[in-house]
Amino acid sequence: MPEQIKKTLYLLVIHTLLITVALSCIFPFVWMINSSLKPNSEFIQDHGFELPDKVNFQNYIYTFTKGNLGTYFLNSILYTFLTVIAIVIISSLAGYGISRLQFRGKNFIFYMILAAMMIPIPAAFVPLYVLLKSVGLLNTRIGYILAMVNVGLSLSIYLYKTFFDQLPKDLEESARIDGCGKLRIWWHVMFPLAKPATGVVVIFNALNVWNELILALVILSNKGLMPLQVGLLKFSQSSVGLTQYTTLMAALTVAALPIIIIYLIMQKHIIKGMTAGATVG
Amino acid sequence: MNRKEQLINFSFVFPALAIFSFFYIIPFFYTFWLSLHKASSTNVLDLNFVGVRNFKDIFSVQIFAALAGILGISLIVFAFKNKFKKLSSKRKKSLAKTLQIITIAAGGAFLVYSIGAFLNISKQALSFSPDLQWWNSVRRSFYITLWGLTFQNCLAFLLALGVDRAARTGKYYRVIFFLLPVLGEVIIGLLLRIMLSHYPGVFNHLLESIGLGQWAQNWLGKDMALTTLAVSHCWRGFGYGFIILLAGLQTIPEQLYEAAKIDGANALHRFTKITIPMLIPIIFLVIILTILGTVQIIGLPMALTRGGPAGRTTVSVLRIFEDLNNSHVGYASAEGLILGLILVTLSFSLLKISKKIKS
Repeated sequence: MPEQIKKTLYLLVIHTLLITVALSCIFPFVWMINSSLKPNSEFIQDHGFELPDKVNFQNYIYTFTKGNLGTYFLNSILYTFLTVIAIVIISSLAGYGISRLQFRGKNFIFYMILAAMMIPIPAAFVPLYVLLKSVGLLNTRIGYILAMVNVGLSLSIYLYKTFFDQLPKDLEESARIDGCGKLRIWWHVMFPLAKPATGVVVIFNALNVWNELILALVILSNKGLMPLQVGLLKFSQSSVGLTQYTTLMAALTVAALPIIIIYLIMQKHIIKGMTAGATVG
Repeated sequence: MNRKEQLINFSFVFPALAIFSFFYIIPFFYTFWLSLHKASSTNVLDLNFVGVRNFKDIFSVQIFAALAGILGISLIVFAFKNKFKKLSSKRKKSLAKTLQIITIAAGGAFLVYSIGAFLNISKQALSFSPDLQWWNSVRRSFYITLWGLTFQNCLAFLLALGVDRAARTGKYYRVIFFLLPVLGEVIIGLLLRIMLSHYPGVFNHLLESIGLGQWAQNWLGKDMALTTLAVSHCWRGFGYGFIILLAGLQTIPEQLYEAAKIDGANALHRFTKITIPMLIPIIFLVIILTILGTVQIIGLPMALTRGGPAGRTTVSVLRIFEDLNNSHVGYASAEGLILGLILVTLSFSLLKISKKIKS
């Protein structure tokens, strides 16, 4: 049965490759969590490859009390939450307007939004910095949130618009006959129907805001306003972050674990949302 | 439709348009304006008009003059071929004529400027001095992109093919491979910084313990840092390409393969005659996404190396960020424009190529 052997061998090679890469993706995080539970001196001796002699949460306590991680964490939650809500409302309104309502310049606005998705401006943060500074929004929460709303806006409008285009018009018609205004049709009929689109928009933007670095770095210089990514970067450059490896790893664990857990619970939706977002853009 | 209704309809788009205008459209045009200015070192809002000096500093006077000349000539050629004719109906004939004349005039102006600049250079004997720090940072970005296009995409493709075949366990691999793109660049970068840095040398220790001790080296040292950064980026980013390619592979109908099998095509034949042609649009999509994503990386180098040692991993956007930090806003804008133009040209020509292959 040479054919059978050949096939088995083939599968063996495939799985070896897959498992090796998969291990390389998982191992660093297991290693990170393991190391974060030991004192630095122990880590330097065993390089984090052995289980801790005695589990201790000293590093975690430090990251929250001295490392300011709690503030960064809450900031990130606040920014993500507000930005995503704003994006969902604003972009579904706009998507509905572009898909169903008539007004002058509609197509122009839509093409502009499309063009914005296709033209990269690698240095967009430079003019934004100057503009925000000149209107006094630099180093404010609202400035950062608005900037992040803008980052996710064009893609989300596009997603909503294409979704609304595919919906049949009957439901709206009957609502209109019942005397609903346009705003109420949007809120009571269209928005609930658009749940799949909302799911993609929420997931894509939430991860985008949570992981965003450069705009936060440019806009926010006050430590109390910084989100987690910038906070981690600052912490890693402090004297503790540079020398106490296990403390830094505790901070990284605090930042990574919630995302990993949410990801494992919602992996199907997250993978779908992220790829939908990436391929449209 | 009356005015009032128009206004009501428009108000649905208004919030989006307001934010979009202030945070995208105005900055977009403001970049061009800023790139012609130099800010004072104490206050970035105090801008002085310097014309095209930032571009001259970046390109060097000689190359800038040559570029202006090329632009002038191509504008004139474009106008004389009269591409505008296609655009216009009979009614717009006069508009086409005006556009043609304006283009010729602009091209002529660029050409005259270019010739003048060259005469001036030879008079003043200016030495050739492009901004090497900037161009080196661009070179580094593209070096990493090269790794992304080859190593990262081949890995993604190989893994996608593997998972496509091993259908039963595919779900778990998908979850695992996509974990890294979901986690932020900063987390991955800092984790790798601890693993790879010379002290305590975790990765080197790992290599020794599996008998590859001769490979151990200073991964973040000045010889290796850029390659380490590139490979780290590939490792973090292959999940995107993997998911997109896998989705593409699974849309190819199984019957095609079976029909080919009956016709006696071997595995390699099936791969080159069915898989690749069916996937061409998706492969190009992945290539474009890789280029756009990799040339503009900033989070990973910032966390992993902070551009060091001695600027060896300062990639282009990091360079722009540093210029902004030194309040060289005008210069940073000019750099951003040049990089953006390179990216737009690249991605649009790739789109064109992919369309040509398709037809």
